[in-house]
Amino acid sequence: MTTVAVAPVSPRRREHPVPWKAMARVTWLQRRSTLIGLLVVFVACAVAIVVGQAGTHAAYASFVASGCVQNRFHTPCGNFENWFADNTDLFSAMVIALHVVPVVIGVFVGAPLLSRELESGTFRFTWTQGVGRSRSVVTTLVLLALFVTVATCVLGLVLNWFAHPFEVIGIESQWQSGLFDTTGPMLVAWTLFGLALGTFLGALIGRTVAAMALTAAIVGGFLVASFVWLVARLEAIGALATTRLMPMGLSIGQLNVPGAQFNGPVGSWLVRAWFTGQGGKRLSSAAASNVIGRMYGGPATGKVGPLHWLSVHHYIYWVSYQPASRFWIFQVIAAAILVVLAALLVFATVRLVRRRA
Amino acid sequence: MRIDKEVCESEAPVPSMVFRLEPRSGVPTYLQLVHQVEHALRLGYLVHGDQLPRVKDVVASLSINPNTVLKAYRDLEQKGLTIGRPGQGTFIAASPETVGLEQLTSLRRSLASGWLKQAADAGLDEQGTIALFMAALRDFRDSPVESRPARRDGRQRRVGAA
Amino acid sequence: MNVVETSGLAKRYRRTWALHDCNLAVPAGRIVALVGPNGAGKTTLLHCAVGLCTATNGSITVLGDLGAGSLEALERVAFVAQDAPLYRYLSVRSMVAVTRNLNSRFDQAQAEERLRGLEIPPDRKVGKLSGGQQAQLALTLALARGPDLLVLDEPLARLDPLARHDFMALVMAAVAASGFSVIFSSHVVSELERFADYLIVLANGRVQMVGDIDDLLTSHKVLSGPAEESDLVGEQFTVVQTRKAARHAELLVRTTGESQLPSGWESDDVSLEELVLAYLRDPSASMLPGPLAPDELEVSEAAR
Repeated sequence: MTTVAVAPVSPRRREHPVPWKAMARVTWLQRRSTLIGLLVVFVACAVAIVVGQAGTHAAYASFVASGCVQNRFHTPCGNFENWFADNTDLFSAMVIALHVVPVVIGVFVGAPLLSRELESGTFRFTWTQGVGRSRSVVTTLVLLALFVTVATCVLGLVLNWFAHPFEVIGIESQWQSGLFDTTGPMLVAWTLFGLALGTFLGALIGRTVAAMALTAAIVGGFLVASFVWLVARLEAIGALATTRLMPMGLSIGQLNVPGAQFNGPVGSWLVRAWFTGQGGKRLSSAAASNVIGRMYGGPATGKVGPLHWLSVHHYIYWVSYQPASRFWIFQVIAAAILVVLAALLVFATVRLVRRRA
Repeated sequence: MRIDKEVCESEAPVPSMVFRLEPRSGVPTYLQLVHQVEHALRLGYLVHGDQLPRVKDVVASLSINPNTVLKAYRDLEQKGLTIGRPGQGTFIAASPETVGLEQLTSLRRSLASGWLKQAADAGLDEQGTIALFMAALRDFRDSPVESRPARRDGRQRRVGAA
Repeated sequence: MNVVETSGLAKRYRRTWALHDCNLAVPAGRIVALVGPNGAGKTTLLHCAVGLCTATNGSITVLGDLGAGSLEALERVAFVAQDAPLYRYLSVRSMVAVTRNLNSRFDQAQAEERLRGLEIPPDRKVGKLSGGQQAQLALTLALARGPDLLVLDEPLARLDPLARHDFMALVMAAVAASGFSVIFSSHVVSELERFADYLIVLANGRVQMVGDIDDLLTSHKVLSGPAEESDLVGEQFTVVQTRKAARHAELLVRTTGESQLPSGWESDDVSLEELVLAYLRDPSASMLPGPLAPDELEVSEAAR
């Protein structure tokens, strides 16, 4: 009797397709109130931005109409700039609010996801249903991730749109740590990270309140660290150096200011500044302060004076910066780091769930 | 009681038989069911052609293992008292000698005024009377004159009965 | 087919062993009672059977050769945990919808009909139902999945007598209609005979007694006779429990029923409760898996 050997198709995959629609219904039924609450908050933020920016966009329109974009030194432009500088309250508030979004999602969506099941004992129901524990956890996470991705994407874009006039004028910059983290892909990445960390901690600790607190602390801590230090540190990497800027109003050392504010190209970011003296040797900060003092202390007439003085004494003023074109590279790198972290946390969560026996 | 052949869909049919359990009586459950059917037959509450309640209805009302009911129904079928029709149910097939209510009453009266009175006069208490009666009943059953088929009792025959 | 089969099953939580070397071969089509004192390991054993925990040693398979907790097993085994956990904040209707979506097989019509019969309002929150109603709901959901094996962990513990009756009546009626196997655990032995036809007695994580209840009851007897002869008589049998009075002794023995009793000794049947208690009182007494399981019997017949 001859037999034909046929490579068997993995029967498991055939017989157990992942029930996405069904799990979507389950996730909706289980998390209805939380998702609706979040949606309300998101819409409120968006509406606040849209309504609040009415004034700023009108002012910006006038700014552009007066030709201030090309030439900042027209007479009315200064007034516009002052107006913008005085009206950053709502803007700052929204930036802060959007920083809170990843924490909120991590705490109210991520942390209770598994910890509530473990604490209340309903996992003994859910994990014995036909869908299986791994698949139910993964599909729920993916569906929630999709939801928060879309929502935060929209929010980030809305903030981006709000921030644009400020950036053009140079009062704010997308490079600033506050905006860096909340616009574009970064807000999505932070939120996914928060969601993944919250879920992981919920699975690990098994107690909802503790998981929520720890998630808030860690995600909040990361965001604060990012705001205060991490973003600036990242942006300093591979900065280009130029001598074309003048030390007008600029100090020595860490700058972290938008280039547009100091006659640099719009959209660029100034990282550090230093002096080199004779022989190209970098001056210490004390010596540099000395130079600046003497530069402006002498008989100078306008901007030409100090520069002439510098070149006579063979001092060169250096500034390192990031050009505008690089902004998206940094965004993608930072977002990728967070998304990879989130993915690792999801793997760890699934592993925890699998092995919980 | 006969079951109506035509029963409205919306009405539940009146059952031919209601069962009762005595969980602490020491008699196995299935035997209690068998005895109750036999008793009902004797008294004429069940007649030839009646359908016994469906297994799942008995189970739902008494809350007992379905196998117990199946066992009882099988037992009745083996004794020839019922017949099972596949897809339809279990039906009463025989009408054993029904002892009419009148006869039962007169038997009871004669026992009370006759033998029981004698036993009481002899000084036997209730437990003694029962024991004596059971022993006599056993003797009666085991005697060669007995023409009835030996019944399978729920209790095992005593090992090494004296 | 064996609905549950374990081989050397052992489970350890941190330092304590909850189960030691359990060997079971439970035939299908039975209603199985798993009894034992609190802490005996009943919940652990059931959790292993439904895939909620994994064995430390040994193996456990369900419904023939399916690994406990595998996707195939999850499809066909329905479980109601202790205290019938459900999502309390959902309405009954939503709870049914969740269960329907978590399983590929679910009889929505049957579930709705049963809930109507139980008079459980579909719009009420699960948390607002009484304990009995929650248990009924959990059971209804489990039954609507059309399982081949239904596992219940102490289903009656927190129910009042009427709720208990209704709950078991529902289980029994469903078995009568669909013929699946049931395993339920209990620490109450009385009234077991009513529901179960197969028994597993667990104590201190070990299987002490297992088998068909009919077989267990026919293979055990209480022998009573003069006290001074009790030791001698006891040597002819496997004695499970001895109780002595001044002139009279009672031995609960395991017997094949073929040996002759000496004169002066009487034999009586033993009740299930008495039997279980006797085994539980004596940790060293254990009933080897008695009569051969049906498949083993066939094999040994064929081998002759």
